[in-house]
Amino acid sequence: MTALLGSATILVALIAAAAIVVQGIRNVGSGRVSALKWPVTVFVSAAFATFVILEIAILTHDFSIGYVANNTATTTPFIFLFAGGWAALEGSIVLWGVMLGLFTWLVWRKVDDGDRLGVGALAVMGAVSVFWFGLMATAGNPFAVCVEAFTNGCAATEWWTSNAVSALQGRGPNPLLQNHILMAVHPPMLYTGYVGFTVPFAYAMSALWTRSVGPRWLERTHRWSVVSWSFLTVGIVLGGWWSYEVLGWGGYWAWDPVENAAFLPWLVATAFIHSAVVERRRGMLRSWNFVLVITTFAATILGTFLTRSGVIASVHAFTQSKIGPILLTFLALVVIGSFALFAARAPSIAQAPRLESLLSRDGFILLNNLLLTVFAFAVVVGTMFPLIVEALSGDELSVGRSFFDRVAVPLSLLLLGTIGVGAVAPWRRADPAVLWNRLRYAVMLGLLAGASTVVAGVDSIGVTVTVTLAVFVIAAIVIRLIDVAMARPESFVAAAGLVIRNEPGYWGGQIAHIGVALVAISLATTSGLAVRDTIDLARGQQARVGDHCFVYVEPFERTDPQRQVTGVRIAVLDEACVYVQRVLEPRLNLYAGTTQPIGTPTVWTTLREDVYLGIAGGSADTVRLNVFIFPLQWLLWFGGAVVVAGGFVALRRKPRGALDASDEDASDDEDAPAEEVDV
Amino acid sequence: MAIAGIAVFFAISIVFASRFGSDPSLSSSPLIGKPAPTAPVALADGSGTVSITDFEGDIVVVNFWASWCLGCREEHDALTRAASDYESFGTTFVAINYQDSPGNAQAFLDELGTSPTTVYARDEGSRTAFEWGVLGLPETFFVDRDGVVVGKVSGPMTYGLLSLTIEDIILGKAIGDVTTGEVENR
Amino acid sequence: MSEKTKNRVILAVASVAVVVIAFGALNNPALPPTAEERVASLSASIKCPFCNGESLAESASGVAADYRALIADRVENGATDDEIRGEFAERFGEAYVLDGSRSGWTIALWVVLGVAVLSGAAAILMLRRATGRGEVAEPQDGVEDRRGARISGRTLAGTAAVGVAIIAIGVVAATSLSSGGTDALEGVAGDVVAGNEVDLDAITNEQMEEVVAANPEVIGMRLALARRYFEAGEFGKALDHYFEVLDRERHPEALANVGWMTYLSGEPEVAVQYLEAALARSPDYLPAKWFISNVLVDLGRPLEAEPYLIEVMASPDAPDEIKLSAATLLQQIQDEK
Repeated sequence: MTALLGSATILVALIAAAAIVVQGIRNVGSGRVSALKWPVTVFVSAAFATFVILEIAILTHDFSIGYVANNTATTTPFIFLFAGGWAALEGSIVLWGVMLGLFTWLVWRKVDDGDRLGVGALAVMGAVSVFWFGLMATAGNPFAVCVEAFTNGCAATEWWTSNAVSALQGRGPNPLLQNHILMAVHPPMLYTGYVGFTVPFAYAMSALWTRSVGPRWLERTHRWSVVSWSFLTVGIVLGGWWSYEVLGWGGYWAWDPVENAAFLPWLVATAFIHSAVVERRRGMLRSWNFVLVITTFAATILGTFLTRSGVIASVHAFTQSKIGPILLTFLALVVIGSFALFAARAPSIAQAPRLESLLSRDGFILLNNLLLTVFAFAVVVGTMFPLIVEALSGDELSVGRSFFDRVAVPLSLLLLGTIGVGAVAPWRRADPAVLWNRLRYAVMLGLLAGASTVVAGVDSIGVTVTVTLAVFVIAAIVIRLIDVAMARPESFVAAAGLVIRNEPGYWGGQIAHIGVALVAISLATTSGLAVRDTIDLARGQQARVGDHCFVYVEPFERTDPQRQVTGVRIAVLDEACVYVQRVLEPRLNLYAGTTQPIGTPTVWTTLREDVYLGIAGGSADTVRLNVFIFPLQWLLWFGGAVVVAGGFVALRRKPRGALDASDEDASDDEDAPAEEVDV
Repeated sequence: MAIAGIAVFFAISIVFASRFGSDPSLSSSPLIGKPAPTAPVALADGSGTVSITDFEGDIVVVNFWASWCLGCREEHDALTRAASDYESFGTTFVAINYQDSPGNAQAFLDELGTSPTTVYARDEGSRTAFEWGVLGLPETFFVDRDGVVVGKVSGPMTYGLLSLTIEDIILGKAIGDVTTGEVENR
Repeated sequence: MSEKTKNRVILAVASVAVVVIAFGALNNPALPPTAEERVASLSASIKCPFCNGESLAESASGVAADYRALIADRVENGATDDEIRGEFAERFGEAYVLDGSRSGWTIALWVVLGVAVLSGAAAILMLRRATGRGEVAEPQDGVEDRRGARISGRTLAGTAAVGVAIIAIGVVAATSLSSGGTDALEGVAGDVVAGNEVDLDAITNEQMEEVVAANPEVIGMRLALARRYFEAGEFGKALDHYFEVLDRERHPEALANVGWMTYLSGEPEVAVQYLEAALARSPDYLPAKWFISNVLVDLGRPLEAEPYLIEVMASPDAPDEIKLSAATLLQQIQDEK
């Protein structure tokens, strides 16, 4: 019954979305948004209902629904049960759909009668929704009914049948997905970011369609872009954190195709929010912004396609499914349709003022756009290259870490350098003397920081260069804040607060830039100064790795409802093996219904470093441990949080009648969020 | 420029489309046409080791299996039957247990039965699987009388496929790669 | 402090810092990677055959752990990184080696990227040039900070110097990062154990004997030593070392040279077995082909020798005199037919 209800809401949502498109097209000329009231209301309600019904089916253990039987079990803890609503293929599409519903509603609230741009945008969102719910109604139906059951799980499903069979028990989630709480949070964040870019895309299409190609669509969507970008950032950072905490190989980023698929829209979106500032401030780059917003949206669909079609082998990929061809078709429609519309309107996009000097904020943002675009291009080409070569020549090859690292390291360092200069450079044309005045202390501090790493005995040149550039960036921004705040009559702290509040866009961006610099430092130290070792320990035996001594204390076992936990207690001592600093418990979790235990590493985080232990094997009396020591690992997550915080600061509204800009950095505008660095 | 971009996009779409339905983790075996690996492998009963060179002149069927592999369960009967049916043609079957505990492996054989004409071996440290380039279970390699790998089947085998393959080798026909279904990973 | 003095102080401090950084970059040559680091980087560059695109380093599966142990063994036995990657490529296919540099296609990849960078840079420059030189720049909006506007030529030169230094550091960093460590020669034995390339020419036989005796597991140096004895005609010593190698690994060079020595000592039938084993192990190993064709001709089996001779002649790696001898021998065989 639940299944029938769920399928019905999908159909209702599909029809309502189609109605949004039809009514949108009919009323885009007049901008009469009231005609869309009913379709939008019905669509949004049905989208929500679909999600709620799926959750009800999961929470009531309705194993006559294939999706429920194959991805949850009665023993699954509540939080993972709830997350089961989006943890697997069909559920993820439902989550996507409900996000679209939410965003359609939020957009609709801001559209008044006579707003042609807004009505057009709603129609485009309706079209995207038609596709998405169409996918749910056909190849990716989460409510498909089980017609052939195993004892646990479902062997075959049909769209609808009255002869449903029910599995006795569900198969339970993929063990990797129920091993850590982050798995419940990471996908919704990422999807919010992905789906959020539908809104700027919809407005851009509407702007082209209604021939209102000025920066108005950017003004209206700039908050959407920053919010989506922030969520995408949260999603990527959490994904790296999950990988670090769960997978046990001691890393957070592997240039896996699916990781690349999430990183790609992030890169293009980062370029977009920077170049959007240039258009809003200087009127330049109008065409380029259309290209970027279309590319961002296409990249989110491409990412979805790569993850869900099974064309590329990846740990993240869902199992092979029938939805691949449909997604590819949609991607083709988006790319061809939107670029064709863009090409048709291109002549009418006004040629705006030109770049006056490369040595200016405009110039540096252009440079940033070039670097980010090349970066994104390298990621796409590297990811697709094996497929293309195989299709052309039949040769099989792989593009891995070494290629991506070789591209990413120099590009990231260059980007870091452009942040420092670009953030404090005036618009249009910077007098070299002014620029030098703003940067001189930062240059000195950065170089001193780099030199101090050498003096401290760091023998990794990568770390030294990264620290030099990162400290330069942070110092340039902080010194700028001090300069501007000191010029005000208030006490320094009050003045700094006022400065930030008056220009939340600009200073939010600078906070994000500081976060990026922190992330960069951590990326360098955790890759350049990491210690890795594998040790075999008998009970009572000790071994030294880095500055620590490890002693195998005892094994332990525990039985939870859904899993069997076996682990070892390892004492971490100081270098001399005298004082116990910490006792760690790396474990292996064996989930019900599976045969292969999932390693669960433990991490001991201090300000200095992470000590990371994972069980790699062992016998009755000995244990084999992977030991990793990552200096300043916490800075990666902290820096990520700072980046996101910057994004949200940038969203604060300027106070009404903002104070006169004369004591502010008059050359700055709101909103210049973060540059890139691979997370 | 836009046209060129769209053309490139089309080309890439076709590349993608050509991959639908194929298992991206599978590729053909570079071993075919090469001499079979000769490194010794431990016998399951612990009574020593065995090497492909011990069966010189025989057609050798090397099957990798594990108790956790569903496809192995499916094809087990076909393998034991063929091992006795083709013994008189000069065939030897070697069943190599891979990534498994000896207890689970023994339980699997106790449940499904063994064949007296099959050599049961155990791959310690996955060294043998490495030599053969095993990509997933079940996988079966066919070695001709000259010790050259002539065929590989990925995925579970039926008796029909097994007998056809062996007869083709007896007749000296080329085999190559055959994929019958998904191989399982652990 | 006047602006001028401030700038001087800043430039002085910055220059000292640059010198220290440059010193750190140049005086701290990347240490040769330890065995553990080599295992880590190798397993990161090889795809795990069982694990959906993960590398051996990332995968938590049992087979990945086994293969990491196998790589550690190979490293300990003195195999080079390329040999180990090659072993995986040979068994699983090139696609399992996550390092495009093994194939010419990677060059295409880099070319495509280069074109992208250049066209992007060109686009920006065109945007700049389109402004036109004659156009008068409008006054900058807002109030500019003019306090330090008077700037001496020296300051500019200093800024340029700092800039150049930063770029230099960047270049050094980029090269040292991409080359992933050079082979500093610090103690022959240490490097051999770590599996690094060592310039063996500079080392005497006696030194090599010592290293080999101290590290019986090391194969690379033992092979080099045996080759020296073999080339010098000291077959007794050569055979000792080759057999030591064969106990550990059926190395094609050892098999081939032992085969040749066996032939020279008057046992052609046994020699053929060794040489065939060498070719089974490494079908493209040229010396084995040359040796076996000679032995086969001597055994009166010229027809079997023929294909090997043709391959020797077709090989681009064969020295000219060998090719000439092979051609002569082939001519004789065909004349006899």
